[in-house]
Parts: sequence; C-alpha cells; structure tokens
Amino acid sequence: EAPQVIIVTALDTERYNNDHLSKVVQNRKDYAEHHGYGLYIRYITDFENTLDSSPSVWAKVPMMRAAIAQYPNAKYFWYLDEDALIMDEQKDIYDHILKPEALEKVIRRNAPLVPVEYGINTHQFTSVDTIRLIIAQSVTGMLTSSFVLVNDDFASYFLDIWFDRLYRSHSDFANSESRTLSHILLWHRTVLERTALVSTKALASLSQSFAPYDLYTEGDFVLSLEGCLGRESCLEEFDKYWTLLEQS
Amino acid sequence: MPQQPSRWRLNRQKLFRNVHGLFLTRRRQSIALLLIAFMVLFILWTAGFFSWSPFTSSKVVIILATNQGGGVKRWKKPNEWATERSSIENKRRYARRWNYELAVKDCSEKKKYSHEFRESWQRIDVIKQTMRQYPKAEWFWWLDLNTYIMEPQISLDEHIFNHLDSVYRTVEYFNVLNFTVDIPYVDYEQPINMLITQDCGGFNLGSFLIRRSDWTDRLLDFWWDPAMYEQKHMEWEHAEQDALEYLYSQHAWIRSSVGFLPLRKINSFPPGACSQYAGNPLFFYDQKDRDFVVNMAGCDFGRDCYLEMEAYKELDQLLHKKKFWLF
Repeated sequence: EAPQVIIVTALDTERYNNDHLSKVVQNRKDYAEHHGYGLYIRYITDFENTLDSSPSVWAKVPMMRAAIAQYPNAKYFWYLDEDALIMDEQKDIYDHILKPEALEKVIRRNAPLVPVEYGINTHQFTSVDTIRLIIAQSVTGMLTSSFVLVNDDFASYFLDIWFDRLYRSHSDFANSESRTLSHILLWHRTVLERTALVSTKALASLSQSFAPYDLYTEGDFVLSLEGCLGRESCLEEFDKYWTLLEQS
Repeated sequence: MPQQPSRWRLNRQKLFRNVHGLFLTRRRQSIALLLIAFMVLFILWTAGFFSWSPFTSSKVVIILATNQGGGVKRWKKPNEWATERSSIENKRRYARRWNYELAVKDCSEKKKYSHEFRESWQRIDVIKQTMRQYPKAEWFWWLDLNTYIMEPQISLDEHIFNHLDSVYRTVEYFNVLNFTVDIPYVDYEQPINMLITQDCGGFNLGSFLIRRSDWTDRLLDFWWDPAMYEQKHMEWEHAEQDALEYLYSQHAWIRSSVGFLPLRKINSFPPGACSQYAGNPLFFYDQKDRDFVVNMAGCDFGRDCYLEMEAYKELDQLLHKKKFWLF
C-alpha cells in the first residue's frame, strides 16, 4: 500500500551544513507524517556520476527518476527543493492542487509561456485528466524548485528527455534545468499538452520577485527561495522564514 | 430610315439561331454533364481523395517515399522516372493483394527542410501527416523509393506481426555501433512500437515499421530539436537516422518500445551496398532464401538504380513464373 504522494528533496552537503539540512528534512517529515505521504530524500553527491560535470541543480532529474523506481506504486511525485519550505502544514497538496476538481481551479489555460516573445501559450482546452506535470512560472521562468509529476509512462519520457546530454552541453541550457524546461515546453507539444501551469501562490510563493503577486504572504502553502543563490542570501532568507514557521 | 426587317424574318432569324445554338440537345447535355462528373471523380481518385480516411479501414498503411529531390536541384532522368514507376507498381500490387493502403508520398526538396530553415526532418513530417490521413490504421510501413517487394505472397501478419514476441528487444546480438547494451530504467514490458533493422553501418531507415501510439507520438515530436540539431548537424550525415541512433543511445523510454529485426527480414541489400562485407550472410539478398524485400540502398551514389531495379524485376518474374496458365 504505497503512499499517494512522495516528496522528493535533493540535499547539497557542499552548500549547507548538517544543522541546516536537518531543518529542511524536519520540515518535510512533519508534513509527510501529518498527511501520510512518503519521503525520498537523497544527497546530491550520490548522483555525481550521473551528473558528469553538470551543475548540481540538475540532480533533481535523476533523483526523481530514482524516486519513481523506488516507489513504483505511488501516484504523485512532488519535487521540493532544499531552498523551499512548506509553510502551511495543514494544506493537503492533494486536496489543494492535485485532485481534478482542485486542479481545475488553479490551472492557467492559454497562458503565455516565458519568454513571451515566442508567443507560445499553454493549451486552451486541456482536460485536467490528461495533466501529468504541474509547475508554476514566474516572470523569470519555470519554478523548478517545486513541481509535481504524475507517475506513468509520461514521467519516464519527460525525465529522460529533460536530462538529455545535448541539452546539458548546450551553452544556453547547460547551467539551468529551468531554462531547458522552458525550451522543451516551447518546442515539444507532447510535453506541453500534459503540463498544467499554475500560479506561484498555489505551489511556490517567492521570497523575492519583480512581480509583487508572486511574493509570499502569510497563509501561502509553499515558500520558494528561488534565485537566492544569485542573491547570495539563501541562509538568511531561510532562517527568517524558519523562525516564522516556528512561531506559528 | 433603316428598314425594319419584317417580324416574320426576325422570328426566322431567332429560330435559326436557336436551332444552331441548340447543338447540345437535352440528351447530349445530360451526356456531357455525366462525362464532366466522371472526369471530376477520376481526377479526385487519382489525386488520392478516396484514400482519405472515411473510405478505408485497413490496419496497415505502406508509406512509399517517391520523387526524392523532386527535380529541384537537377532534372529527373527518364531512367529515374522508370524506376519510380516500377517501384510504385510493385507496392501497389502488394497493397491490393493484402488490402493494405498505399500512401505514395512526395519527398521533393522543400525550403523548410533546407539547413538554415530546418523545422524538422522531412521523413518525420511525412509520417505524421500520413498518420493523420489514415486515422484507423495501426501500423505504418515506411519504404524508400529504391526498394522492391520480392515475395508478395507473404503478408505482413504472417511475416512479422504474428511473431512480435520473438523480436529482439536489445542490440545484444548485433551491435554495429557499440551501444551500451543495458542502460537503467528500460521497461521491456512495454509494447513494441517501432521495428527497425541495422546494416553494416548502423540503423537503416529505408524500410521500417512504426505503430500508432503515445510513444510514437512522443518520438515523432522529440526526434528533431533545434538545440540538438544545432550541435550535431555537422556530424549527422544521415540526418534523422543518426538522430535516432543518438536518442537510442541515451534514452531508456526509447529503448522500451524499439524492436530489432534482422536486416534481411525486410531490408535485404544488393551486392553493391555494404560492399566491403561481401559474402557476409547477414546483409545480402539471397535468391535461395527468397528474401522478402530488397532495398537498393545507396544505388544513386555510383551505381545504377535503374539497372538494379530491372534486374530484381526480372528475378521476381523468374521466381514467380507460372508453370501453368493460372498458377
């Protein structure tokens, strides 16, 4: 009897010490215990061979593949980055987003994909039953710090092509799995038609953003520190929201 | 004052005109209309209108690539026209015999497939379009122009589809390109959606089968990607063939649904192709074994496609000579 949702997190021991990482794990554990979900938490260093010389942001892809192999009967795989926190433990992600009626409320159809110059929008008439990938998008691109993948043969296809060697060797995409994902959605209908774009509020409210509607406010489900590496403020931002979490 | 012709004369003139204007009597009018209707239907039929979906229900479609180049860069010579006719007639007879559909597809040079404008591989677009054209069909057999079905009395069911579980799922037994035989996450429980062969140099897409499925949908979508093409087009001399070899080397989801047939099952070579392996029983058409199809691969590079086609046509007639008048 497999849990319905497995939360997958990649831990980077080169960036963070064990104290910090244990807070991240605690956050997931509390949530998973509350809702009867499973966890798949691994160190990025475990995937060094698979990664070759690609940056560690790419580790999430083979890690998701391994998670699916580990839990073949689970229905949903929610990748949640170590630079993200579940702020509202009460919200059940299944009731909140994954079940068809809930997804119907948050899916953004005919929404422009970033970069908008390409003029590609998400499909107008998708049925939520055909959705296999649920992800949020900010003004800068795909928010790969928090996304959900449904477990079926689409997942193997998607995770394989995302991790293709030629993407990781292309100068535009090598350093960013998020930009690669944008490219895939722009060019490959078979992925786009199964993707549901949702608002950041639903799945990955941001700690910092150019767009005020993407920012975290109290009561939001998940907080994502997306871009904190560039701002060099990952630890302080994390600590700030960790104390907020502990207070509530 | 000009004299008005008398009414009687006027009427006679009118009558006179009418009799001559009415060259097409009512009967002749209906015949003419009927002839025009037949002409229109005939034109529609030769244009392939009636092989459109609502009229057909066959599960197999043969896609024959013709008009290679299409006379864009140079004129087609009479021999090329003749070879094309022979090839089409050969497939047409086979399709008629087994009630398969034959889709003769024009593969002339188009701007959108020229290097800097490239949107896709041409072969892929032809397959996608044919799959839309025959929505009820399940299997699609791609054949290059310079091929000949040598044993038309064998159906595809008998030859291949009834034996799908004995098809090779890996390159374990024949691995020309030295692929890693086993990569993680391949799911051999998946159904086979594509049957290909390998020649002396790698995959050969001159004759292959592909089945309608989600997997096929994804392969046809992902086969060409601009980021990959940009990096590899200098190396990929055989375009989509090389791209498919690359995808096969990398992706478990591809391997899950690809099956391998021995070359001589649907794609035997004449002695001129893979000539450095002459005598190797793996590649060449053998009359004794009565191979199913011969693919005169590469005959337009230094050999003579017309002569080869004529030779195989003659051989076909010899092998299927009727001893008595009817059989």
